[in-house]
This record gives sequence, C-alpha cells and structure tokens, in this order.
Amino acid sequence: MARHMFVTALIVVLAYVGLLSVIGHPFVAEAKSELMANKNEVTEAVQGNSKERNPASAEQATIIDIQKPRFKGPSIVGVTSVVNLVNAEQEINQVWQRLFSNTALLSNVNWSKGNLNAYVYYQNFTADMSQAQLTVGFSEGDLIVDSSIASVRLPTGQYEQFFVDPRTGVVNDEAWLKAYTHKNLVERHILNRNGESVSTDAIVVIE
Amino acid sequence: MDFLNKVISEETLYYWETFTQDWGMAIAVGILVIELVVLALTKRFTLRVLGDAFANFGTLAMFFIVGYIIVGATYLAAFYWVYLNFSITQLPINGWVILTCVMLADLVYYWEHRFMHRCGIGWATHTVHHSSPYFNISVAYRFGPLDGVMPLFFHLPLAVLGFNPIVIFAAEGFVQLYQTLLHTEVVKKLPRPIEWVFNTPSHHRVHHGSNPEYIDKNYAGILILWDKMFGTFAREQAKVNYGITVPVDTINPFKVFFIGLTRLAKQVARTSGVRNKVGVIVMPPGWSPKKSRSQRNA
Repeated sequence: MARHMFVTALIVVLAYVGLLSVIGHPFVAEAKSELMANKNEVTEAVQGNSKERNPASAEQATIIDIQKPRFKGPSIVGVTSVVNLVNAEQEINQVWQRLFSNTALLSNVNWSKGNLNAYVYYQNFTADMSQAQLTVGFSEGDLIVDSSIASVRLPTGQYEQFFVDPRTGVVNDEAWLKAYTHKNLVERHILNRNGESVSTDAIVVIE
Repeated sequence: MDFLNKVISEETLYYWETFTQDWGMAIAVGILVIELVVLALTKRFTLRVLGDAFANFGTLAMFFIVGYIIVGATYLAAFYWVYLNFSITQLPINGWVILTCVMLADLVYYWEHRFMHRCGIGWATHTVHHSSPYFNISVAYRFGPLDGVMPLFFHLPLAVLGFNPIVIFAAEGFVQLYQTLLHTEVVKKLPRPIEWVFNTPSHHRVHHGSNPEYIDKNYAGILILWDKMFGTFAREQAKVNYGITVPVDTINPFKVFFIGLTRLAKQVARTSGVRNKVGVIVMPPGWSPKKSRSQRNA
C-alpha cells in the first residue's frame, strides 16, 4: 500500500510540474530563469578561465543568443494618477475605485468575451522611487466601441514574469526590485464576467 | 495544440459541464430503453427488472435531496474556501489545465472508489450501488446516502494545487459520466488497445461481480491502467454474478437507499466495546474483533 501511495504521489507531482511547464506558470518560469542565470555564470567563468589559458580560442568562442519571449504591451484605457508608493495600498485602491465608478467605460467593456485582462501599469518613477504614475485600465481591444479617453501604451520587449500571491494580490519584492531598475511594472489581472480577479501575474519589461 | 492554451471562462466551462451532463443523462435513458428492448427480445425481461430500474432512479432522487440540498452548498463552499485561502497558486482555465485535472481527478477517483470498498462506512453507502442483481445503465444512478460526501475529502487536494473549483467539478462530472456509460451488458468487448488502456463495460461488469475472483477489482474511472498499476485488475472471464454477497431482496427505493447504513448500524450495535465499534466503521467490510484477534495470533 505504501508503495502504491508513493507511485500515486509521483504521478501527481510529474503531471503537475508538466502542466506548470506547459502553461508557462511563473513557478516554473522563475526556476528556469534562475537555472539559466546559474548556467550563464558557469559559462562565463569557464570562458574566463579558458581566455586566460588561451586568448586565441576565446575569440572563436560562440556566443549563444537565447531567444527570450517578448511582451507585446497593448494600449489600455482607464484611469491614470500619480501615486505615493510609500502609502501605496490606499492610493492604489482609490484608483481602482475610480475605474469601477466610471460606468460609461465599464458598460463599454465587452464582458461577454469572458476572462478579460485588466492592467495596472506603473511608470515614470521619481528619482527616489517614492512616487510613480499609475494607470489602471482595460485593453482597447476589449472595448465595444472606441473610447474618448486617451489610451496609454504599455511597454513592449523582453520581460520577466513574477508570481503574485493569489491570496493577497501583492506583487513580491523581487518584482519591485526589477521594477525600480527598469522603471516599469505591469500587473495583469484576469477578470471573470463579474469583474472578479481569477488570476494575476506581474511583468517587468527589461529591454 | 494552440487551442489548449486558449483561456476558457468559468461561465463557458460551467455551460459545457451542464450541457454534457444533461445530454449524458438523455443518452443514458436512451441506452436503458435499448437494453430493455434487448431483454424483451431475448425473453429475459421481467417486471422485477423494471422495478429495479425504478428503484435505482428512486435512490437517485433521494441522493439529489441529500446531496444537492444539504451537502451541495457545503461542498461548494469548502472548495472555494480552500481554493481562495490555501491553494499554492491559482491556475488559469485552459485546455491543458482541464486535461490534467481530468487525469488527476481520475486517479483520485480510483483511490476514493477503493476507499469506498475497503472501509466500513464507505462500503455502507457504496453497497447500495452494488446491491442490484441486474446490470444496466439505471444501476449507474443507484446511489447511497453518503455518496456525495466522500468525494469532497479526496478531491480537495486538487483545489490546494490551484485548480479552479469549476474545473474540478467539471472533471469529477466527466469521470462520473464516463463511468455511467459503462453500466451495460449490450457492449461486450471493445478492441484490445482500448480494453488495455481504458475502463470498459467488460472491466466494469467484473467490478460489479460477486464471484470471489471479481470482488474488489477494477476500481478505475476512465483509465484501467490505475488498476493494472496498483494490482487490482481482473479480466472478465467467468460469467459475472451481479450483486453483493448478502443480497438485497427488495425494490423499495427507500429500503435500498438506506440498506448499507442500516446493516452497518446493526453490526455496530451487535459489536461490544467502543474500540471494536469504531473498527467496524473504519476497517474493511467483514472485519470483526474475533477475526482480527485470530489474524494477530496466526
């Protein structure tokens, strides 16, 4: 019986990790990027050593270009405000409230599509990182008719994806460190037809 | 394979689940009619068969009352509570997630089903399903009072893994529906590769057999591979004698519905000592303190 339970646990773990890998879940993506970073460090160290031993061979070394996926930022329509990051929670909630009180915009959103993305975009950080410009809104593609509200274009480029705790909806510190370095952070919330968030991740465009 | 990555909304999945279950029921009733016609043509049709089928649907009605009204709300709330508070992540809803959930729900079903056969209280409720001396699609709807409660404990870990409760219910429903369609004698054996991988009417007839070599075999839902992997597989060879070792000689749905719990309660009342009473409830059917002692001494 114990052997059967062990086999069952093994099947569950393999199926689950396989699933996370196939759907590109942040758990696996983070592990992969860490693995890649470690691999690069090792490669650099090996290349450094061989360069010292034989400078000619170093020139012939092949540089492996890793094709990273690119985030194609859509244009979003919503509410923009400068928020104080020191007292972030309250101010961010106010921006969300402003978005959800804009009935004209909400009734223009094509909710019947289901699983719409709502974006939270931080940009234009101040030098001391105490403030940022925050835009919360929906993709222009998810609107029924064009909106008169000026749209904000999300950044496009290679990115890193971060886990967001589903219980708190809080972006982790690692993501914020990247955001401070690259001066942008996008939270992507998948909303159901009732406007409730069913899944969230965070993205920092790094180049 | 791109379609498997396409995000599916909760509402869409709920719609498909309802659609599948409703049509599954309609198809099952259609198959029952065919089975009855075949019985009539082969001169095996009796009023008792018809009465048994009505008793089966009678237990289904009582199962709905207990399961949907009393247990249903608690069941739903428990899944959402675990999913929202204790899940390690929240997985999106797409084809890959649904496929994996169906596979894991099938594995979970195997263990739940094995538990129902190998634990006193589990067998007390599941014995209702096995108590019919006939084997047709209406038997699939012959439920016991606690049949709606047991799956909760076995499927909750899927919510901890981050599967949306809607996906879990749909996967559970799909495994159940697949199982339902296996309750027939009309289909004999399917092509070998199918019989090797999947649970089939032939494998499930074995599961309903009271022949000694067929008892506690073929617990699978969709994949018979689980039984082969865990040593509980038996091939259909000898003619299957349906029913349980102590038959239920009634077609009164009320008596049928409570037969297992009544028998268990009587056995508990007859057994002396709290420890032994608990043993009767949690140990495999047929367990008794005397047997347990003689096994220890041997």
